[in-house]
Amino acid sequence: MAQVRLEKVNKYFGNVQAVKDFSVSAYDGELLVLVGPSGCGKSTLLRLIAGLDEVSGGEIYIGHRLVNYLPPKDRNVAMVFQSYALYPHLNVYENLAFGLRMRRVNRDEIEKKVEEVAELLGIEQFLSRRPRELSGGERQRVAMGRAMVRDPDVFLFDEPLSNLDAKLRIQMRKEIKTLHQRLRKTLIYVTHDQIEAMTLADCIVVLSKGEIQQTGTPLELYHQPANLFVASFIGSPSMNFLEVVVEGGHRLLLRKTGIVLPIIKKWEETLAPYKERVLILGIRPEDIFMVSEGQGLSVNVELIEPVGAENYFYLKLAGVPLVVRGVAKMTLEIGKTAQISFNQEKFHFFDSQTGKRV
Amino acid sequence: MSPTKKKTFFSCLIIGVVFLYLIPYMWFGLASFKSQRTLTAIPPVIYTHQLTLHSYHVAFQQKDLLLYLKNSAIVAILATLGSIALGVLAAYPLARLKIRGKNLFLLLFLTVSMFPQMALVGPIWRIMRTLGWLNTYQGLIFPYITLTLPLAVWILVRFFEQLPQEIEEAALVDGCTPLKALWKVILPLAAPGVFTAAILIFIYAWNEFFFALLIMTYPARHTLPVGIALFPGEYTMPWGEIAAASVVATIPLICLVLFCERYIISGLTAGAVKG
Amino acid sequence: MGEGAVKRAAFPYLLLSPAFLFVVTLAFFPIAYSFWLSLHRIVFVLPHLGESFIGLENFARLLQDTRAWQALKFTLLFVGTTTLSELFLGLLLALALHQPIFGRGLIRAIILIPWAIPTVVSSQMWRFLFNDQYGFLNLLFFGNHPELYRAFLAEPISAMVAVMAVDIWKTTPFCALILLAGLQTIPQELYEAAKVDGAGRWRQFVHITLPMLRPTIVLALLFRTLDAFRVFDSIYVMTQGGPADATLVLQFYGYKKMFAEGLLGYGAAISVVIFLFSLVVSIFYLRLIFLKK
Repeated sequence: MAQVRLEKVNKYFGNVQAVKDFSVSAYDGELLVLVGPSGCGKSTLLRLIAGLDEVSGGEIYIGHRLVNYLPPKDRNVAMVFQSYALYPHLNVYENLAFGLRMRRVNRDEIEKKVEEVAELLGIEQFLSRRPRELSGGERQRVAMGRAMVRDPDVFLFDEPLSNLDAKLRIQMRKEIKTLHQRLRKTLIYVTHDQIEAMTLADCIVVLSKGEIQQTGTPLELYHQPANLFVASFIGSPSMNFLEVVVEGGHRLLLRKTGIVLPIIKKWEETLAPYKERVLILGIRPEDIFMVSEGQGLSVNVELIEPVGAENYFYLKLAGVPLVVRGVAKMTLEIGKTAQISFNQEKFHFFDSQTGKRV
Repeated sequence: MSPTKKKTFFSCLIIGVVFLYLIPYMWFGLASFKSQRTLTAIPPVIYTHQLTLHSYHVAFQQKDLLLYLKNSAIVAILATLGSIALGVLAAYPLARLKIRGKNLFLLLFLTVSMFPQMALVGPIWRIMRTLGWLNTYQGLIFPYITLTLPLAVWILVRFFEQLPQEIEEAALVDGCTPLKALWKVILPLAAPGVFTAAILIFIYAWNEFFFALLIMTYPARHTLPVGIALFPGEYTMPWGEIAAASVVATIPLICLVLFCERYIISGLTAGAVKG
Repeated sequence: MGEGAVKRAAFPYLLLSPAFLFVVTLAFFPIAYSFWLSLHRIVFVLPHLGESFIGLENFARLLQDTRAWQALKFTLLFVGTTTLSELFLGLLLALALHQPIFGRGLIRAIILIPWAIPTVVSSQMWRFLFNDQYGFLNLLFFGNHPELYRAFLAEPISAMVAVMAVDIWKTTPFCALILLAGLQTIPQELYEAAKVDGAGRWRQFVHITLPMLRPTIVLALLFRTLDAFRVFDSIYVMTQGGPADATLVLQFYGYKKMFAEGLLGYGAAISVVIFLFSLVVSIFYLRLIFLKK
């Protein structure tokens, strides 16, 4: 039984369509991440689920209920806002208790729940303080606590980590994951950060301009991106792209370089319908290897970015830029040449016009 | 001009200004404590040992000053409450909810403040007469509410707009109806704005003269400004009593200004200064 | 759409409606009613004459009315003199208050008081000060020589000056405080950049202060001009329009016609004229604000 289900949801702001025919189900207890660049409609969707905006078309179900016409207070969802939206005039205890008070829960019950959640999140010493006296990370926990105290059917998190510094973000990411595993409630999480999406999600929905690009598990999206957008969005550093022409039935011409590669058996059948056509070849930085002198394709080393255990090598293959992930021990020098080889098993092919995976 | 010269120039200016504004009050205030003889001395006497409360005595006992005070208080307080209530209800949607023609409504309220009283007072007088509301409190309170609504809305919209958008939505998700969200979250945070608007409206209602003159014609219903303007004097102007009445009329306001000066200024400049 | 959605969409308008209702019935309707009244002949004390429609006859009579022209002339003089004086003096005062000096808050409060107290009180106070026998001003100017004392409010020219001076006294602080707030929003960096560029104090004033203050000035001018057109309280208390109509202003004249003489239609015509003047002024200023944005 799906806990949250959206069917063909549309949203117009005036003449602008922010969400197009969006259909997705989140199962009970699933951590579903909506990810995409800014303006892709992900926050809009969260607000539609919460009831803060009304859908222009389509249906939203929470549990078995059609909630399209229900106001936010009747949907039994809890939301953590990007700005945390804590009530400035109330102390932390009152912030946490607010939702329960609205539901006329009795005072003892409220006290119990608030203290329970506060302890879980490690904020029990702040209960009598005001939000403005807390740090960013502490406020974020209070915001989460406010949502948790209400024990809703669905949690909605709107870019909760964007306002935190990098280190805190990584730490909070782990905590959110742990919390979710403990609570086992449906959590719909919105972010623009694909690393957050990959590490947190049970299921990811990649969005661009209001449309779903792909829905799947993190690994599915990583290994089998459905189109160019997903392929370039997921993975850091991004996938390398090259224009290729399928020549004859057995060769790939890398355009602009004049380099020709034989097509391995794995791809013969897939590429057969695309003779003499231009495709986009995608290859991830970790699927390109440095090889010894005289063995692979010659490249110029333009830039080396050391990131600790690894380096990112920015190369030019006959004028076409490539990024390669390599072990830091590799001795390459800027300005000099090197040799690379592709792991052809890990090629991705995309139609140059539709962007779709071939 | 060198900085020190500039400083002395401005300091002198300020001192001069302070005198210019303090001396008239002091003279008039002092007059309220002078006996009739000292008041009418020619040439005028500045200081006298013979200070008396006689003028106050007469003003209160014989001239219904207490009654005027009561009328002013009732009208001003109720008008303020009414205007704030309606102003909050109007400013909230204009500032934070989706309204078609929001700018039109704001312009509408603004134009009301530009109407000359003369153009309103005749018809309003007729309306009140038809309703039988001449010389009643509501006959004055309702027009005051109307006249101060633009001010209330103007100030409150600005205050409401400055509050973060999302806390309201957090309240909605937490289980509030929109009205409850207004009451429990927005209003407490907008309290300074409400307070500022209330002070300005109170001052306006307390000081208003034209409408009060025409709607409250029975002496028993006079508000303070009307009472002071029409202070009856048989042969000579009873300056002592007028001064006494003026002091009584202005003490609440002076206290208000001294204690709430910051609020008043923020309210006055809310519209004037862009920001 | 569900029923709940309709209720939710109507909610904002529902909240707005009481205020809207008040404003429509007690502001817009009366204005329209004034126009209607101005087209009729209504004498309050002679109800049996009825309320005959006479078209623009009231306005025609108004054009011939010398007292009305007198009132218009003085009103315009009043508006021009007080508004410009208040602006100029207010600016001076604002610049003075902008300096860091001791007791700024208290001074601001003191000069705010004239604005905060009823105009009739200020007017009575000044009337007392102008008094021809025991007025403080006579004492100040002529000392202990009562034979030299002047009846300021009984002589046309000095009455006009007195009435305008009182308004300027009362309102300059208000202008000053608004301009001060405007001054305080001008970022300090602009002045510093200008200083580096070699601009002296005067040029800084002309090229930075004045342009940045422009919207504030225009807004202050707008409200002051409208208020000056509507002057009534001080005239009523200090001169009653005299001596010999020297200080007669439009609103006071309208008041006399409508309520003292009971000529509702004629008085309404005067109020329509005042309204149209206000309209023209408002449009003029609002265009200044919005066009330059």
